[in-house]
Amino acid sequence: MARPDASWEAELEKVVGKYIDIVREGLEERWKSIATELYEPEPHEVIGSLLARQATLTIQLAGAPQIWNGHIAPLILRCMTDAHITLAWILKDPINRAKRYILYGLGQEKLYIEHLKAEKTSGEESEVDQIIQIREHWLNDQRHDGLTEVDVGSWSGMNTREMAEEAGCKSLYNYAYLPFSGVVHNMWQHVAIYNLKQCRNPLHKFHRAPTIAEAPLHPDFVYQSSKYVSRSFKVVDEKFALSCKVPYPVDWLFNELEKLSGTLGDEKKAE
Amino acid sequence: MAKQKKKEVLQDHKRIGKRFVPPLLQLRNVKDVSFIKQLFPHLVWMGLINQRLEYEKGVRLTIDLAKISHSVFKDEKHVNFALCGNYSLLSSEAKSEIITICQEKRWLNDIRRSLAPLILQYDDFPMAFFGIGDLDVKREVLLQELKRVVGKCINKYETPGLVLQTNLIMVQAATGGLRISPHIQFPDFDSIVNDPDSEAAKRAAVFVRAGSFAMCMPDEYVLEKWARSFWNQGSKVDSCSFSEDGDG
Repeated sequence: MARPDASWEAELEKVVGKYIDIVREGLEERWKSIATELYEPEPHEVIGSLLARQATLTIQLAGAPQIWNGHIAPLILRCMTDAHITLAWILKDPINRAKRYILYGLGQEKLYIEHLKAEKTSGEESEVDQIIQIREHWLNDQRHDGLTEVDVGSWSGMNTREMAEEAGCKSLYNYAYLPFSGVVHNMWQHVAIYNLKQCRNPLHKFHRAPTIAEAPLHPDFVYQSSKYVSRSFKVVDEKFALSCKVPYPVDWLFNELEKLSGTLGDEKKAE
Repeated sequence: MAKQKKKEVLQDHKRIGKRFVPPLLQLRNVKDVSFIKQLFPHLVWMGLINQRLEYEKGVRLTIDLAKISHSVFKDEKHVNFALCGNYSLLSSEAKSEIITICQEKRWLNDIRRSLAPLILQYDDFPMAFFGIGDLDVKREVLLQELKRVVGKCINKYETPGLVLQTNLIMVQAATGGLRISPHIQFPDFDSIVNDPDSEAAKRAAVFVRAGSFAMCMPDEYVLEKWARSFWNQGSKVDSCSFSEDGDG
């Protein structure tokens, strides 16, 4: 890729700004198109929250060019692939799976509160007591904590790979979730590349030493996130037979980046 | 047209619980030996000699020296003296005898000058008993010599590294430690130097790489000791060298 100049960066900033609007509009249009079910709101709340989560993550990434690098962007992309697999799996049986998803989350919250209670010292009311109070209120508002089970296994009863296979996202799991997991868990395949530099002295057996490496910024990370948010939009569109006017973020961004790289090519030709 | 069936991943691996074990590790008595980590420190001395005397003279000298050392060792166990760690097994008398023979054959100065980068800069070098005589070489010169040779020979696929591995096999064969079935055709080792891109050289290289690992038992204490010592002294001898942009 040719080195972008200041005007190209300004153009990219405009594209990113519009992209954020496209994502927001896409979420709003879908949410308005899905009939609200108030008697059993769990599926809608879970689906809506996961869609909004996807939108939030891509918007946050797009709006922060300083993190469009291999250190940070994959953390967000892994989170997005995870969210998509969860969403796609829940959509296969929304009523039961959305409830299970919520109950597991409430159980996790209860466990955390129990840890806070165990840690706090007796005596005067402290900041921790206030936190416990607020969190218990949030928990009990949804389900009495005495009735809330704590499950320390997987919320779905299966691992992410199995969920992805069942939800038809095996390739997303193999080619995105899996490699990004190495970044999230700080595994060797990531840190050896991003956090070590190799000594070139042959007497040192080419050992590696720690480094805080400069990683190049690349808009491709935003493009990838646009793919994941679009996948989530699509899977919801298919489930609820929606036809939205707002373009999928990935299609819109692809066209804009194509135009932008064309501009860059023209500028280079003119030089 | 029928759709081509997608290849399964890790088909040839054996699943044991959550692990997928590759075919090689399913064999018994397979040892993980690293050329650079375990074998190379024992061969580097021959690289220094080859660098100084060039291949023809260098190879002949290292093999002859290893043969003499084997003859004075007088032990039931076969020991390959192409591996420098094995020189630590020699008694003081045997070492003196080797030096006397080398002096008679007028090899001593070449050996001393060639091995000086290791003798003068590294503790515990098993061939330090050769000494340096009245040699006076600047430390920087010795360091550069060693770096050049290590950098050149450390790649086991390239000619300089292959020559060292070939020496190991030649010494094993020359001292009665290698029996080859008559139906196996011995490869043309000379081709590694004379015509490195030829088919004959490629065949020889495969033979040499596979064979050299069989000569080295890394769990033997004497061999492990020098390999560890050599690499751990590297940072004392010279400082790290990272690329300017810092990304290695």
